[in-house]
Amino acid sequence: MTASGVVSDSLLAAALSVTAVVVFLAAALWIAVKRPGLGMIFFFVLFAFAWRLASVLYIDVFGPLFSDQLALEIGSGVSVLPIAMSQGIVVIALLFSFRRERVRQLVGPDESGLASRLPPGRFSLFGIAFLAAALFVVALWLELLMRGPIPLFAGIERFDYSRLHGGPLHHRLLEWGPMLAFQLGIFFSVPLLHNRPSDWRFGVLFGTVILYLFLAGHRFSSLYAYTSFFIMPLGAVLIGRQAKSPSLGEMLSRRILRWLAVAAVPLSVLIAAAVVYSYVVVRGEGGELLAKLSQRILVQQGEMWWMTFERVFLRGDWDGMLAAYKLFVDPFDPSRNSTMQFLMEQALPVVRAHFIIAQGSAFTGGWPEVFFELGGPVGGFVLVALSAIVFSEFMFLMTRCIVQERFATCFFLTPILFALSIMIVSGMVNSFIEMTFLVKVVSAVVVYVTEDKWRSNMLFSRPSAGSEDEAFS
Amino acid sequence: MSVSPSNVPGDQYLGGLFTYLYRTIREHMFLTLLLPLVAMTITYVAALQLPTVYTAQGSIRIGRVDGAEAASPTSAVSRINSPSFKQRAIQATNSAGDGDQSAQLSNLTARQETADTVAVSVRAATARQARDAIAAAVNLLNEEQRRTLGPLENDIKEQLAASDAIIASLVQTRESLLALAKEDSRGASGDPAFAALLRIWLSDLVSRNDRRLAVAKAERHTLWARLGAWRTYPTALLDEPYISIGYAVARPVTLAILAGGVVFLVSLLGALFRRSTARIPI
Repeated sequence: MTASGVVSDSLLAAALSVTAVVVFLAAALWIAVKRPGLGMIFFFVLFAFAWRLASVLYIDVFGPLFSDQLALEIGSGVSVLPIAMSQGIVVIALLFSFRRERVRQLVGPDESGLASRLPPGRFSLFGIAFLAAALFVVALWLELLMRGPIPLFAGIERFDYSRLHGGPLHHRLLEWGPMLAFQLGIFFSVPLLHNRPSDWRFGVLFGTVILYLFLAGHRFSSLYAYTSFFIMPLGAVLIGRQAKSPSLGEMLSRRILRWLAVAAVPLSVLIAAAVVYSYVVVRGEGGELLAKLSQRILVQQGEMWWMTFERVFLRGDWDGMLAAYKLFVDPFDPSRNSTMQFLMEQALPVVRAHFIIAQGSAFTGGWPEVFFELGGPVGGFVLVALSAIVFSEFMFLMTRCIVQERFATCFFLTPILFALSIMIVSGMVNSFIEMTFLVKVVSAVVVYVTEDKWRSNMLFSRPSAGSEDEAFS
Repeated sequence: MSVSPSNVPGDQYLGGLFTYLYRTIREHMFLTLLLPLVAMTITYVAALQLPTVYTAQGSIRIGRVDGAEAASPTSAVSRINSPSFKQRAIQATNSAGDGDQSAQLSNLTARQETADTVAVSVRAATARQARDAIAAAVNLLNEEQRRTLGPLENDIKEQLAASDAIIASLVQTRESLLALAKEDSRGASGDPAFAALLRIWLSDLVSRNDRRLAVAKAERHTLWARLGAWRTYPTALLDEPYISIGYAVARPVTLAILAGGVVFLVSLLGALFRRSTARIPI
């Protein structure tokens, strides 16, 4: 091939890659602007997708470039095309699950809230929830203050703090934190469904948790995950509100977006400060800050996908049986995400991969790599589509439960929401074969059916909706 | 006017749900209580029939030759955890066994324990197989060590043998010189001048021989020290493997509780669906 042929091929590849990314980003932007509720529900996924896509595009267009973590040169190519298609499948699935006519059916003809249908009681559900969450948060802060050094001031890495000083409540927060944030988000935002001000007590609790994480040495990923889970119910409420009354929903949407814009400023400052402080003070890498950040932002997000793309799409070197064995039967550390362990074993010398995993670290990515490692270049897309359908349908179910104020069901669905979200962002699939996951699913189904039947029963046994509304007004 | 959602009465809401659940369970007592109890009993009895599993745990010190290790503990851990090593360990355990029963090993795993030791554990159908599997792992590591560092050890041993030969030769020479000197002292030559020169010459030869002997002995000591027990040792178990008895899947009680729990939830689901209510979604 002549030199001009090579150049034109490279230009064509770059043009294709850029077009794919632009199309995906335009779709994500359209969702954020036109359907902000959906944007909030899927912020966790869409943000991760956009970042990974940008990183893969950077590797494709500016490669070959050196990856610090893999210690080899990666790029260039058209690896962004299959990942953009996979992400596009997820966006299509969620737009289909949340199609407008289906969303409108979320709200029944009787708009009165759950509180209006129940006889008056001795204590409020929101009060109990606040008390329980506040007790935990206060105990968490006391534990941090009483156990010794505060990581931010002592310059301790968050992993080291957890290992050496972290107390039981700190560990519980790391395990269940995003789910707690989701629950706080539900209680914070549900009053907005009925044109009432949001319950700021839960917003304050969430802010306190974020501040705790900042002091405990956490940087971007935790703050992003917690915030994403907190705003998910807000998005569901917005969708519910728009389904009830599009005009009021529009007003609420503008109000919420204003709040979020205001909240995003201090959160961004906090994240930027945490990242810079961590690199400059804790790790002492101030001189290489820009190089480190460029690796972190532009290379590390996409490098594992590049390795999978090269193995599966360019060399046709994939073994679904081996992948399944390493994912489900014999991972290096079965208690953690086996997907990234397998990908790291494939990409690095095994000794080095195991050393990094044993330190408690892992590289970024995992989805859709895991499905292409299992199913190959064609079967991978089928698995991606299946995962997208399961995820988007589950998110619709969750939205329905929030909009219909099914608090008990929401509570029991939260661990499944977390597992599915982690699957769609970092490809974790070994959690689904755990016995505890089966128990969580069956428990959630039992609670869902119980609540559904109980509510039907309650409505059926009610003399008339109007008289009850009058009685409680 | 609707009531504020923040005033959802917690006792009415949670109490209502629990009451509904309680009534469902009471109405379908057989399905929701007896069936899980039966499932628990069957699972418990079945779990008791499952074979016991023996787990052997041991600490292995990675061998060295002249202070150099064939593999670092980190690479030894990776090596033991690799499928090919596990396969060879099973073969070696089979050949070490009595031949009646092939080894059923599972979970041969290693992790680094200290700077130079590796903790290994393995599960097998019998205590002997578990013990043999650990011994096989040690032998395999030793074999690999011999392949890597064997030439170095042989080279040192050859040098030591050569050094021994030199020392023996020098000792023999010394004895011959001493014998010559003794013969001269008895006045064998008769010429006093020649006898004096011979004494000086013999004395010089003896002293040079002694110096060479001292150097050779020092060299031998150095070589011997390189193969000494503190610088050269094989990969070995630090202690006898610790054997514990367990269950292949989980304890029968745990399995029974899990089975009972799952059957209870599924039965409850069935009972909820069977309970007739006019379903009006809200």
